Amino acid sequence: MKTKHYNICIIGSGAGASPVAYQLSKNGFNVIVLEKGPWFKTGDFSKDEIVSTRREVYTPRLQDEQHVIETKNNDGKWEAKSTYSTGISYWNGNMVGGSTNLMSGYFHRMKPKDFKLLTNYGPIEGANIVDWPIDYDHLEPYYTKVEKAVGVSGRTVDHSTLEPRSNSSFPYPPLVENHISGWIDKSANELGYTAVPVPRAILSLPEGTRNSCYYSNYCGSYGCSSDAKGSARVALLDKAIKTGNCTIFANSKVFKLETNGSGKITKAWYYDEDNKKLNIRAEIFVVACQAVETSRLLLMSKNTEFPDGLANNSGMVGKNLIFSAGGVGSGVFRFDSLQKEVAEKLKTPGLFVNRAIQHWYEIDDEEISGKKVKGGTVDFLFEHANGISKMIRNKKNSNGELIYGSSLKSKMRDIFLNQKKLNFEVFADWLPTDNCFVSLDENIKDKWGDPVAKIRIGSHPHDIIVGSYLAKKAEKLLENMGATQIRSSISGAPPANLMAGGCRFGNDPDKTVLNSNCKAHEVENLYITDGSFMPTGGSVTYTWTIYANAFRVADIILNRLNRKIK
Amino acid sequence: MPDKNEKPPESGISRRSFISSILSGSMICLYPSVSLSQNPNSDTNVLTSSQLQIVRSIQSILFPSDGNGPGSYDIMADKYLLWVLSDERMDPEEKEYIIIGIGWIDETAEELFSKKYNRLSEKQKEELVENISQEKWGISWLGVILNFVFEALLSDPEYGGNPDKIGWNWLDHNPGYPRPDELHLYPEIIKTVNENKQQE
Repeated sequence: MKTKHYNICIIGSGAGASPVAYQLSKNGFNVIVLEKGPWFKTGDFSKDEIVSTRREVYTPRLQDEQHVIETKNNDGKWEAKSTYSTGISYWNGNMVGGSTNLMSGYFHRMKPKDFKLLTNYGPIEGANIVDWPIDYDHLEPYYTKVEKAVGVSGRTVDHSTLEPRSNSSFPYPPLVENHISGWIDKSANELGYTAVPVPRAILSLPEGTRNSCYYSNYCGSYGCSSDAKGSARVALLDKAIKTGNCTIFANSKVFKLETNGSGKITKAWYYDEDNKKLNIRAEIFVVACQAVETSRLLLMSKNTEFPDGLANNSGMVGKNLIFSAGGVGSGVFRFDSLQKEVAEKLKTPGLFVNRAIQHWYEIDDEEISGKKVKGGTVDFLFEHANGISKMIRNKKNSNGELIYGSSLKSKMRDIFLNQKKLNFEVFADWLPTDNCFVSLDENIKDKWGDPVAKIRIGSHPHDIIVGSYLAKKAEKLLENMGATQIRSSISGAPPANLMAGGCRFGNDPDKTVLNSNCKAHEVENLYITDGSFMPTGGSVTYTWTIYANAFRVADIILNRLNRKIK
Repeated sequence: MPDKNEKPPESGISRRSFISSILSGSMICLYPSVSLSQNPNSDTNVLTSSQLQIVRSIQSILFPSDGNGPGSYDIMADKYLLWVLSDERMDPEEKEYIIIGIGWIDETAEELFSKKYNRLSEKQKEELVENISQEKWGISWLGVILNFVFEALLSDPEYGGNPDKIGWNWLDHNPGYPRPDELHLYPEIIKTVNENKQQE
């Protein structure tokens, strides 16, 4: 049987993969996408809390596929625990379209100074800070492209750290906001700065077959039922399929990339849904499995040509993994302390807060340092509407004692009926260090018998300093708004849904895995387009940057294939 | 039966290591009475009537019918827990943890009152729960039981709890829409989606 010829084989199907599939298939090249997870279609999604957050449906069962997490214990020694033993999963949205199906879509661009962190702020001891090999100007056209292709709604206001934009407005107007957004604006003004409207990868107007947002009140962690959310599946893959040039294999887990002995990949080996080992041949291979699994796949693909893992003769694969530093906080507004009319407005379900503080994206304050240091972003959002999770979070008192019986019921009723909680999330640079990396665990295997990824997670103390500084600013804003029970938690514990790095791009093949085009230095036909390429992460969520960079790399691959044809 | 010094602490890892040691047999040798064969677990009969009676009682102490909204009986927390325990996808160790914990309740009843739990007075049962809620293992086990009470209160009524949306109404909780249809409830959704197979 003659096997089909593919120009491109893409491993993974999320924000890093889908722009390549979309661009290449649209231009007449044959694309195959291998996705380890199943294929949830829009009609498969509901707002069922059990399916979406309480059971392993959107992520693998930890008893089947786990990670090993190494953290420092109280004695200062590295201690490894499997996620199966702790119950804390590091998976994010294993499905066609990846975790973009489940994201909240808080979209921020990185800012020009983020691309030159070393030049702008200098070194920090113990941190592997470097400049990117490209500038903001290289990525700006692609940020703009994402606004249209994926669908980003929002508006710009002039503020102290606004990044340059080639278009002053967004292609979609902002989503409808809750009364509290204006309240945040007013409070920020009183404190001497401007609150920033947060763009969202959510359509406020219909586009093609996609409907606009219907304000379900259940966005993050849930699949979208109107296709308003800019998931890779709906915004790009569905369109790629319509070209007739893109094939997606779901439930297809790639476990090895085979090379020909001359620095070229010839086949991607995968397990199909019946666990049969099959392979795909292609001219070019693109890996975008989310940072940890991308590094794992390369490390698993070792052979005589690459004894330490594919593209890893530099020893840099898996190194300088980054997350997002910072933490969370909240304040409570009790309805009995507000005018009835205001309280009713606050209760309106589904409307968005969509405000951030970016005034301290760069900090110039003696309290922290004698020189300017990189700061970050604080996003504000209402506590998630999930009822079961809210109850579980509140079942203990501040001393860790279990609350039960009538006092539990009274507390729950008070929480659900008499107050609204405004949360904030702090995003600061997770400084890359020698103590944050991916390797293969020597003992634990997944359900296919392959070694699982071991993730050492060491954060830099500077991250906590910056995160705490930003949290205090957010607390001050909440205080000024009249919130009560204001608190925050800043730690070195990473948010598992915000991972990047592991296959840095750069100009030095001895210190980086990828060149500035995100092609592996050592492999002629391997590109990596998820967040793995990022040497530093900026102080924002990653998704917009991953989408934008993948569009940039898609153009590079397109040029390469077009040149070959000519 | 493991004595209380052998009961697992609250953290997940220690708890799971403990359960693993039981399942691997090492603890069974030390404590023959913990043999899992005593639990007639099957899809149709996951708890003995005595175990179910204990669970119902504990649930009603944790989430009582006290005049302030529905209690555990009203939200059918017992039926819900039986559904949870019959879930073939659920980690067997988590199931065993719930079932073994029921045994610890009986053990504690013997220690405190020299009687099986089901023979205690209501006051004694409440005293027992108060007692174990101060211990690490009690906080952990009761916490797990409570989690499933919360699920019975606020999950979609199609799962068997929250009858007539009694929990949603009590807390003025707005569920999201669309609600799941029969094919997209857990665990059926796994099969439904896998039947999507490849692209249309």
